[in-house]
Amino acid sequence: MDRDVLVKIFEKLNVIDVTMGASRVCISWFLASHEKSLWKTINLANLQRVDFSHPRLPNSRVEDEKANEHVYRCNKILFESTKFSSIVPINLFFNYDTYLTDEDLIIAAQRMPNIRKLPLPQWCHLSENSYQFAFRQWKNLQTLIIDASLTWRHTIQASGENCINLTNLKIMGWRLTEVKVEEIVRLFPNLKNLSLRICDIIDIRKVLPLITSLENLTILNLSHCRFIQRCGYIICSRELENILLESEALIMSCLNVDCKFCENAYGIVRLHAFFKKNWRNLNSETL
Amino acid sequence: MSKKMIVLKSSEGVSFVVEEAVARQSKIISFLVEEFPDRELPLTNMTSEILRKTIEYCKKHVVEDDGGGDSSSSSSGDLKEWDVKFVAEIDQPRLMDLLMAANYLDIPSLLDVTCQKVADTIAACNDEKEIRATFNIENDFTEEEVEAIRMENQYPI
Repeated sequence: MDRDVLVKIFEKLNVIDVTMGASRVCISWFLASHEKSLWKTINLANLQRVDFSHPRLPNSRVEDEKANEHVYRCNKILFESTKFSSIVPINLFFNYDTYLTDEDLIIAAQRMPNIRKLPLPQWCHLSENSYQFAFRQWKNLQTLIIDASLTWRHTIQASGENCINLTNLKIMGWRLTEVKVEEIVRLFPNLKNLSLRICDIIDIRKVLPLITSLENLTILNLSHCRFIQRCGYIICSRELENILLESEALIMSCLNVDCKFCENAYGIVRLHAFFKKNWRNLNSETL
Repeated sequence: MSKKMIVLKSSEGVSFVVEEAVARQSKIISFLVEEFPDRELPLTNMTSEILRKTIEYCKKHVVEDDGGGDSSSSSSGDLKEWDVKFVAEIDQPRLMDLLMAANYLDIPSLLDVTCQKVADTIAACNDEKEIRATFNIENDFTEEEVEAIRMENQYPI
C-alpha cells in the first residue's frame, strides 16, 4: 500500500494503536508510522487502554503489566509515542483524569520540547522542580490550561517565569483571591486571553487588576464564575456589568443569568462532567 | 434536457454508462471528461466489481443540481448511516481494493469512509499478529530488526 494511503488510515488511529499495533506489523507500516503529520498532536484524552489511577495507591489497576498487557501507563505511552514523533508534537492533551507523576511530566518535556498547547490534567500535584524543569523545556508554550490543584503556585510560577510566549491562560475551578490575581498579573504580563471558568470570585472588585494591569489583554472570560460577597453567596450582575462596560478588553461572562449551566450544574457530578468536556477547548471564543 | 452520460470501462472491458454528475465526484474523471469529452474512459486497474461499487457510492452521494441550490438526494444523517452500512457489507480484500480505487480516482469522501473502516478494523485487533492475519500482510522484519527495535524500546528505568 502507498505510504500516503497508510498515513491516511493511521491518522484515524489513536497513539496506542499506532505505536503498539500498526507500527509493528511490517517495515512499510513501521516507516509510515513515523510520518510527521501524524504527530503534531498527541492526544491521550480519549484513550480507553490507559491506566489513569494513582501509581502509589494500592488499588492501582496495573501492578503487573503482564497480567494486563493491553493497559498501559501514561509514561509508557508518552515514551513510545516520542520514538515515532521525535520532537514534532506541538499539542499535548492529557486525559483529564490522569494522575500525572513527576516522571510523566519530565518525559513529556524532555522528549517533546516544542509543545505550544498544553492542558494539564486535574491531578498533577508535582514538585516545584518538575514544573521548573518542564517549563524550561517548553519555551514555546502559548496556551496553558490548568485545573484547581494543590500545586497551582508551582505551575504558574514555573510557566510564568519560563514561557515568554504564553499568551493564553485558562484556569478552571479556582477560588480567586487577591493573592492569586496579583500572581497572575505579576507572572503573565503579556496575556492576551485569560479564562477563569467556574471560579469562585470573592468580590468582583478584586478582579479589576486583571483588566487594568494586563495591557495586552483582549479577552477575559468569566463564564460560569460564582461571584461571592463577604456575607455569602450573591450574584452581583449589575456591578459586574458596569465594570464590563468600562473595560477595553472584551469580557465574557454568562452573568449566571439565564445560564442553564449555572442554574442547575453546581453539583459535584455535573461539574466534573463539565470540566472534563471543556478543559481543552482552545479557540479564543471558548477559552 | 436529458442528463449527459459518460462511459467507464473496467479492466475486464465491461462498460458502465454513468451520469456525468455522478462520475465527476472523482476528480480524476472530472479532469478526463474535460480533456476528452465524448470518449469512453478505460479504467484498466479496476475490476468490474469494484467499479460497480464505486459507482454505487457515487450515485448515492451525487448532489442534485436542479437550479434551486444544493439539495442532496438524502439528508446527511441518513447518508452517514448508509455509508456505514455500505462499507460494513464489503469483505476485507474488496474493502482494500475499494480504498485503492477511491485513492486512485481521487474521491475524498469515499477514501475517508474506507480509511475509517480499515482503521476501525486495525483498532479492533489485539496485537500486530492479528493485524497481519486480518490484512494478509507478511512480517518482513528480520529477527535482528525486531531485536534492534526492542532494544530501542527499552524504557530506561
